[in-house]
Amino acid sequence: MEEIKEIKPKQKSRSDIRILDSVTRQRRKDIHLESLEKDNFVDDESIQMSAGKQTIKEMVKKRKKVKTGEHYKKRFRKNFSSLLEEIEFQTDQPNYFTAKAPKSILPKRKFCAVCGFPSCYNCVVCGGVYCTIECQLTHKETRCNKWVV
Amino acid sequence: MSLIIDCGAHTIKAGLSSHTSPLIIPNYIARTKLDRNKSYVGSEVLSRTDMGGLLMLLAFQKGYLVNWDVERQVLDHLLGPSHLGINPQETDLVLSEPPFNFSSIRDTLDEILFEEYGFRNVTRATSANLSAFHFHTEHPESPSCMVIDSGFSFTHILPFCGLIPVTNGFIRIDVGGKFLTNQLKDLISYRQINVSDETYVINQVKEDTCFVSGDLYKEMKVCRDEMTAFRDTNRFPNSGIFIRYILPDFAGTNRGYIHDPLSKEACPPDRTLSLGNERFSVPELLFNPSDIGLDQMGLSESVQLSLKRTPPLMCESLTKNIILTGGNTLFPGFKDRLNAELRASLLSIHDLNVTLPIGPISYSWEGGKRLANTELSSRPIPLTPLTFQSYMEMGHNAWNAKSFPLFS
Repeated sequence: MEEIKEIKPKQKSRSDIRILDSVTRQRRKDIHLESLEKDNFVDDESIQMSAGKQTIKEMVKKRKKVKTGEHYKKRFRKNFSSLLEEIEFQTDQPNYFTAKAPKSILPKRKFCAVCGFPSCYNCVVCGGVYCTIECQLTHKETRCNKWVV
Repeated sequence: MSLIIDCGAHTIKAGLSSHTSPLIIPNYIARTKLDRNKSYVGSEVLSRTDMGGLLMLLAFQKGYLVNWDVERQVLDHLLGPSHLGINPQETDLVLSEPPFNFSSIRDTLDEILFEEYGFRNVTRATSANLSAFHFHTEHPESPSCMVIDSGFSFTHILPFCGLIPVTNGFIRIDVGGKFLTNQLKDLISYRQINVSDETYVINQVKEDTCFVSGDLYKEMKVCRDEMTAFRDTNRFPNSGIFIRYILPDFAGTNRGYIHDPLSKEACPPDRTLSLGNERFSVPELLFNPSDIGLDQMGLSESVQLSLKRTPPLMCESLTKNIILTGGNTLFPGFKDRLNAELRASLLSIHDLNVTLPIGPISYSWEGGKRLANTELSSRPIPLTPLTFQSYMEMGHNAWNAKSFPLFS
């Protein structure tokens, strides 16, 4: 009995655990999904910047192309989000937005965030899925607290 | 002379109408981490032996052309003497574009193709339309077909009535090859070795090892059993799901390979991957994107939705003629899985026939080749070319004038 008493104060009570709200959980999920769209692990922007410098250098070398290269860069340098803004919202015509596959009607399946096997437990703090106590510990130490690789 | 270019986000499929198969070259500029000033354009990437830490600069973003600098360099390289060596002024061009291409992208493309390169005439069609044309010439008796194009940036389901796209039924799932490679990279980096910078290598790992499972939960169980058996006996199964993959070190080996469990070859621990459920849980995202929290329908569910959105009389013919194109369809088991899921969800009166062509990647290029070889008079109006003269006269409006010849 004494042992149990010693352990008890160490355990966190429910009110001490910082539970992430649904907005934060969603944001974490979005960050992860966005990272899957990246071409490189390092920031795409930084490569593009260095690429721009490189092409200007090349353009200077080839005198003929100096004007056109700069011209195209100024006129057509657009990123994807600015393209989306251009779409006119015509309700009767199918477009990029209407073609997007809607939410599935099937229930979500759950797979352990650590080992990948089917599982049924959710992390209290962040809502991540885990399957065993081992995986839970790994999850707690890594992705639960900090959003690390 | 006709030049056909199927311009994908990851690879360009290009060739003349006299060629039997297209050149498939990377559509990006690569740089290495060590020497950022040296860049490799297009096929120069493939001539490198060391693919470690390759940084890619893609012209496409989410499947649409945005970085014109890169695209022009790749095109210059492609049309130059090292590859095709053609004179644009004497060439008819057939060029593919993504579905629902943005008008500003089209305008820019026209400007570059006509004013910079000066092509004699240009035919612009979605790559799915070229696939449909290919299918139509092979099976003229089929009134309609459904193209499933699963490429680098996204997966599209595109029903066609003859050669006319039924845009109502177009559905896009934002899961493509890049997404899957990144997911595999993420899983390996989290569970085993940090490979965050090795996109090129992990893409090869994906192509070598991943497959689409027929029964996910059954396969998960088999994989778990194999892993526990390995933990107890320290022996890998001879033929199973759980495998070891040796990454290349770019000194002795330039390409990774699956380790043969029967051989006595030692596995260097710093470049050996143990792949279990990653092998099928990654391609599974095509069928269930919600597994990692992407709130979209999977492939078979989207096909059903697309069928619902198309006129009911077409459905019967559509399900009979489903064509798979794009690199992701090369996953082993892809066709069988789609076939099984669709069969389970369709009415019994609907015949189902899913076709995986022999070269799903170059299928639409071959469609373009067939289009280039047909006479102009027998082509449907949207697939007729725009000539240099009419572009110079009317500019971007020339495309509209071509579609409605009565009003011009």
